[in-house]
Amino acid sequence: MSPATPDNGVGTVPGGASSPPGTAALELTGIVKSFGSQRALDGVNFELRGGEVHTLLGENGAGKTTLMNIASGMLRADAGSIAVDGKKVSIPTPAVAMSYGIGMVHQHYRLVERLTVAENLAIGWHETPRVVSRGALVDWAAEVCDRYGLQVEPRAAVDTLSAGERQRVAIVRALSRGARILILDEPTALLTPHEADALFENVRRMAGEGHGVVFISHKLREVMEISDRISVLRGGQLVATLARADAEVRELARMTVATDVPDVPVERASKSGRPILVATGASVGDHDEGRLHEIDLEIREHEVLGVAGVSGNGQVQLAELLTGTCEHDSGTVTQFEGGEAVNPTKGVGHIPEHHSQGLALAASLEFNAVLRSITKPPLRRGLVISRRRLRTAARELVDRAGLKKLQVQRPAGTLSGGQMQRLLVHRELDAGSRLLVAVHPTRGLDVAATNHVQMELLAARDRGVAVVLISEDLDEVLEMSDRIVVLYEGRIAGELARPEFDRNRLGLLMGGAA
Amino acid sequence: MTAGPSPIRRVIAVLAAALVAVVFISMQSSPLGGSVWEQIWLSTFGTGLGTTSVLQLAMPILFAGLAAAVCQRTGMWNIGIPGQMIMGAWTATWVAYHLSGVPQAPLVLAMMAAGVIGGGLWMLLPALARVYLGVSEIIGTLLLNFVAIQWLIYWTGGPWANTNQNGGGTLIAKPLPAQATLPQFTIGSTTIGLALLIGVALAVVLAAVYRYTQFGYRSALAESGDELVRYAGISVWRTRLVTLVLSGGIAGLGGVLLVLDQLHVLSTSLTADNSGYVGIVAAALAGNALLGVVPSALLFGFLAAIGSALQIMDVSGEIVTLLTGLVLIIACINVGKPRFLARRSSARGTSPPSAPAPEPAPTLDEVAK
Repeated sequence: MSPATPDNGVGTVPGGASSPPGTAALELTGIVKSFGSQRALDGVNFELRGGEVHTLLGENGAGKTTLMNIASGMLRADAGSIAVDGKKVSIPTPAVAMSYGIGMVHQHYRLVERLTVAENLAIGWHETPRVVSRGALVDWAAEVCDRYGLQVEPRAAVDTLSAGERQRVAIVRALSRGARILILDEPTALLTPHEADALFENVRRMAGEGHGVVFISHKLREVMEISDRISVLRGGQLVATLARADAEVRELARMTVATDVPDVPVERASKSGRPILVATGASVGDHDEGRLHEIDLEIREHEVLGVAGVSGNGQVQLAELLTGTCEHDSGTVTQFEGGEAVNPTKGVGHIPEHHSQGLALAASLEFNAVLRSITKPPLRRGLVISRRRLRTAARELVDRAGLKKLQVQRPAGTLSGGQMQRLLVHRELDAGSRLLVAVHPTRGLDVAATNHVQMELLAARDRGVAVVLISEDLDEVLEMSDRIVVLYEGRIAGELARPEFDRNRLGLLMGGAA
Repeated sequence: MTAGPSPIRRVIAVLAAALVAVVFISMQSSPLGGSVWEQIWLSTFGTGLGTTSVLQLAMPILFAGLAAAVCQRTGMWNIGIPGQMIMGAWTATWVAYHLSGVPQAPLVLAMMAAGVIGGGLWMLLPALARVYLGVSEIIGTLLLNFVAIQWLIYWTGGPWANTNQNGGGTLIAKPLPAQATLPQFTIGSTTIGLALLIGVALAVVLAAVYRYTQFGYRSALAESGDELVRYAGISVWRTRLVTLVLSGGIAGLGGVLLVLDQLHVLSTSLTADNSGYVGIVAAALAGNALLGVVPSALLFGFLAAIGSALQIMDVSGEIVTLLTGLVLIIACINVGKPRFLARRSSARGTSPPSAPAPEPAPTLDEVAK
């Protein structure tokens, strides 16, 4: 049996009784959650009625997933209360959430890839018999899929399924365990448009049957299509809850993006130079994984090109494409130096999305500091590395990154996130003498360090370096860039030069609604 | 670039394992009478003969340890050391049979070179499979051990069989030329083989290579994982290939030296002491620090000598295997927060907001309700 069976007992009835439409099936009140010193949720209220599709809309990091992880027992709130059908409950684990009829379908579905659909449906559930024949399991799974009208071949191994099919398995799994409240975390993120349409149909049907559906998304268009009500989260706070009839795309975009701070802080005399990298129709990855499609982009000296967009829309691939660390399947990417096409790996710096991508965490600070320059003169002479120069160069960089007090022999993994980021930024500033691709360069830094990094990037631009700033922080992009392109679903959704910067327009482009 | 537990932890591991061993050995009594502890002392550092045997047992472990450590320093495993030792020894033996008239120094050098080539070539197949096809080098190297053992049995029992001596489970090949032997140095009553000194010198050279050359740094990059390699845009396939073949060559050299130094003939007892596998443990205990393999190999040589001492007393020598396992487990387990505890706090999708609202927005909670 599950560790805590609710007193009302309805939770374990498959396809069980749903709350009458219109009453609060799930109510979260004053939810607070912090990670370290970061407050991810700050007193958020949320209510889901039976039979409604209630969207949680917001940027990455707004707290949408965190809030629903609390409702589904993945995380525990620091403060606040949860009520199911008007009864106050405590949800310490996903199993308990399930017993209250709350099921969450995570973005990556959490299925066992090597097992079949039937096995995934049955595994880890207390009602699955301890001993069961393969045939009986398959029959049962087929019946369950049938009951919810979500067809998947029960004998197929999950790793052979498409993203849409996997999602159906995850949804059936939740429903078959008695979920009356279904939480879908970014359900369209990995789906093709066709699969997304099928999903919407299913979501509507489930709502019609009385299930409450929480739909987490940052895509404005689909939010307008599927929702009964919309709650907007920003920076861990609830901005508004609206009925769809009262919602308007432009207004939603404004609410998700930011407050009305002055758009363009200072006008800068920017002299755009010669192009140093030109991408023409460059595509990366196949369409199902939906990565980059036919990117046309010109990157110029003396210019900060801001790339705005919600992460997961191709930013990582774009950074790799521009730094020459991934192959493009079609189109061309050419780098120029003084007007001539050149070998692309020279003078390119890359501040990656995560520290771990650019640092060897088990290796010493010293090794990490010279990672870029170790195979080149003057550190290398022939086959030999000069230890003395290496040590000097490492010490100098570490000092410049503001880590003077640290021993260079320390493993890089023992540094704080901010320290790692400072080391990375300075190393890549050195490496990027022609092109610097910076992905979230100020993430995890305090205000002073953020300012410092931004000044360094601008200084690099002024030296003539082409800087590509990929960031989710629209304020940062607006403040730093000379030109902005918006990435949406692997395509360049729009391009704006500095005089035409417009927060609302960017918000719409980022949400795919323009 | 030694990752993993600190040196202090390693020493503690050895001491802890030793404590367990003391308890176990104390529980044993020899059917032959006499003190087990006294016999252990006499068979190891208590006598010159004992010390000599510790050093002899440590020699192949040192080479195997270096072979294992070199691979680990590039983030790969060589489980095929016994096979490479066999192939090194076999190739060297083939050379010796064909150069029987050559004087000692050139003959020995030729045999050593042949051993390096034999071991290296034996590694070439799994190395190419790893680099070009992505086939796990663990599987490739391990499986070739069984092939090498059959190869050895075929030659020592067939074309090269020494018909006068065969029997009793060990197959022995025809004798090598009499001058195929390495000098021994005697200090007091202890004898040190040149082979061991070659091993120590090799450790020093390798340590310098890894510290002072581009190759060493590329290895460290490769060790740090594919994601970083990809990020850095530095190609390491050549580094991986060279490393694997180098590792095989070192193991092959160990095999030749075992023949030249101790066995003086190719025989199936070449891998009887399991030094090819013990070397992997020795490298792990040293945290893959190349110089650290030297004391580590000596420790395992000491353990092996204890094993023989126990066998002399007709007490089970299996305690040594147990001890080896214990050292490996205790030394290599990194104390940290178990993953299942760490998971909750770092659950996916809960990264803190990257862009907290710059100023408290006028809350529209009224709208919400």
